[in-house]
Amino acid sequence: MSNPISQIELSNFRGATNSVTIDLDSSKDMTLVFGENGSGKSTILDAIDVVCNGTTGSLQDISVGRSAIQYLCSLGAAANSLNITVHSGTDTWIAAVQRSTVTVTGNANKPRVNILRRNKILDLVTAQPRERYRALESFIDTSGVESSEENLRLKLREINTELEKLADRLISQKDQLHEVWEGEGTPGGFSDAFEWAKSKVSSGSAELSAKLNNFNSVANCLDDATESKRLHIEVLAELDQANMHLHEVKTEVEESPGIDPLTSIKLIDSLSKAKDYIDSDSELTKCPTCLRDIPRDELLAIVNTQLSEQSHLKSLSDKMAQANASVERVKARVDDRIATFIEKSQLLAQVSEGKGIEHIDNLTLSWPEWSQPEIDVSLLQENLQKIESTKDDIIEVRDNVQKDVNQHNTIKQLYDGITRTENEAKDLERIRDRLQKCHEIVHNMRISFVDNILSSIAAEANRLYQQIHPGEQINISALKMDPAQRGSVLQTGEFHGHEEILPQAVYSESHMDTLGFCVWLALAKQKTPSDTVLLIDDTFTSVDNQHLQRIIDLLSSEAPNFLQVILTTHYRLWWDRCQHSLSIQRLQLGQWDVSNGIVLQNMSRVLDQLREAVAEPIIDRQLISSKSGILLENILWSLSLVYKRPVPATEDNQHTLGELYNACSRLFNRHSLTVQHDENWNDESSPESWQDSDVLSPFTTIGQFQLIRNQVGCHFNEPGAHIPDREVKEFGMATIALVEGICCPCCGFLASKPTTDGTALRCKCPKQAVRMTPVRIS
Amino acid sequence: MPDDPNGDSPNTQLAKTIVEKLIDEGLIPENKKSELEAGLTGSGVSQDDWNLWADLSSSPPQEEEPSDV
Repeated sequence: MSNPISQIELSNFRGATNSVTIDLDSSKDMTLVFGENGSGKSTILDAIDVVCNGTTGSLQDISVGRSAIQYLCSLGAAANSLNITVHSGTDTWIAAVQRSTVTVTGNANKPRVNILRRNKILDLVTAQPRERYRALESFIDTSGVESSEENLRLKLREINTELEKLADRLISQKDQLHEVWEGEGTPGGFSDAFEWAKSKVSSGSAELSAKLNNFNSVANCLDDATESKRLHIEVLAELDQANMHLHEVKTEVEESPGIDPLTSIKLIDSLSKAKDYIDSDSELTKCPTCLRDIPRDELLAIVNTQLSEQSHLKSLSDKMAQANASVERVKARVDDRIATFIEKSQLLAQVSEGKGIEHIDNLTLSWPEWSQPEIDVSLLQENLQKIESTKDDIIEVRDNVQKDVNQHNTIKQLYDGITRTENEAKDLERIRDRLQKCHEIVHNMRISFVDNILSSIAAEANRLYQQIHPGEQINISALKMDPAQRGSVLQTGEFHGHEEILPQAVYSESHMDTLGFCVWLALAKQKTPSDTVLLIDDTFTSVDNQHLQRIIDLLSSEAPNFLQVILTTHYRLWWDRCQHSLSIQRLQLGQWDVSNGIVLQNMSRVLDQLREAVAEPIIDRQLISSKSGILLENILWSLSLVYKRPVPATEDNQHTLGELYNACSRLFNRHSLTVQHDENWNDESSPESWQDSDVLSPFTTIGQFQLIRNQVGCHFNEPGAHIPDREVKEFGMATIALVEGICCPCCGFLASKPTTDGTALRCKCPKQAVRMTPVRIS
Repeated sequence: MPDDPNGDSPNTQLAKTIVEKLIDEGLIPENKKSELEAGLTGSGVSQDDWNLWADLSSSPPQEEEPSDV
């Protein structure tokens, strides 16, 4: 909760060429600053604007060349001499110029200040819809929700696009499945390809797969057995060749002349060994066989000679050995390959027996007992040969089974794909439906929320407007978001039965001024008005007297809603009409000049001045008489207006006190004017307590002494000199009694507005502390 | 419609009512309330979050496995 501004001190700020202190009475609902043009009214409000809003005051939106800062200082003053001090409660803020910038020191809790200047009054009502939106943005800013709504909309669009793609994919998958179905001859018993596929998939492929595995095993084992048989045959041929070669070598040895081939070969063998022995012993001196002494070299020469003589036989011996070795090696391979063939045959038997392979089963094969040490290879070969004869048939069947498996896999793949796509689409549709509902809620609530705020602002603005222009058939009908333009607020009004018109195109200048004021005031009420200071800078220049009074009444009734209202005016009429109000502080500015700057005086009410004057031991006769006269003319003129009392017509609408008194005398004497005051008007905790005011007595007294107004108050004449002080004082006191008795103790105005039940008149201030009857007289 | 007594901005006021509505309607899971409100009052709820929360709120509840007795 903020405190109202209590004091402003200015030095070298704009018109304040001399230091000046403005004390604001925070007990009043409103401060009225009156001054003629150029007296410094705007300087005071600018100072508050600079400190509280960080602006350059009324220079804010004016082209002032390089920098507005230099114009904030009084002309000719040094920039660093500028000082604005604003006090509020115990808080103080000081604005000063530092390095060409206005710096404000003090805590951050500055009063919230809304200022309305003459040149801004039409900004909102004549603005383009987009600018109007910006002006209203802080009241209707739902950017976080809008952004979320936009993301929601984009997500929905993305999902719908995805659903379209899924639908296309589903059509394609179903078409493919349909083609397969047709390719299969459109098997009966199914409503469509999908049902057929479902049946196929549910029946499974295990049997087909097992069958295919069997055929593949048989085919593979058959190939292996056939290959092992081929290798077996191949190695048998190699054995035949090896035996044949051995036989040839043997024949060659046997046909060698004069030699016992076997003996010779043994001899050669012995000689070779002997040679090796001699070679290995370099110290040999004796024959190792006969032990005779013999030279080694000689012995070696003998052996070499013998071997040389037997070289042919040596060659034959080597060939024989190689041929024998070759035969042995091939025999070993034959054994290996027989074993392999048996193994492969056994495998073939295992995978083909009893596996339901018709072509093999029909052969009625007899397989050996595999555990026996000797297996009849020829039987195996015979069986293999029989099986091989069916190989083409087996492969054909196997290929057909493979086709069936492939077909089943294709159907399953398509079926699974369709199912997956359908499930995916269902999931997306489920989310899409949810998001659609979310979007509708977010969108509708946002539109409704913003429309409600705008309607509320428009309704409040219109309510205020009707107080200024009752029964004139003009109002602002709506503020609404432009559905076609993002961030635009449309404004329409009514004008003498014509709806949806643009106010700025039809309304008069003064009507536009008051409309701008009412919209501004309605907006100010939106944001915790009890924490808001309103500054109204000499705004109304085009309104007539009648509307001016209504604006005064309106401000008097609205001011208590706000933390503080400070109003400047150059209208003396406004100043005069507020002179009785207890709830208005009146500050009067004197004529401005460079040397004195802003001069002001806190003006008390005329009633208070009169009260002080009659209380003096030695009275100021002329002061009492003239002030009483002004007060009485004011009161009786207002009373004549309320009750439509006839006064003599004059060109300048001026009437003497006597004419006004006569106009009202029937009201007091014939119509029993009755005025009551609520004794508890200033105590909200107490109920209303209405007490009659005696207005007839002072009115009668005034009637007796009314000539004092001129004779003592205005002229130098003899009759006036004969009037004693006592009568002058009585005239003044009767005036005070009449004013106090007839005016509202709060606002100082007469009761002029009928109550809702129409039984009395009340004043227009919130306290409504006075009521008056009759309501009207004929 | 004057300022909210809590001092909430218009966006926050609106966000709170939207959150209540979406949760009451069962469109957003209750346990996502604070995240949703933060998104609406902040820089906005992302597309992914909308999608996830709508999915969570509409998914059939998972059956609890029977506990061993």
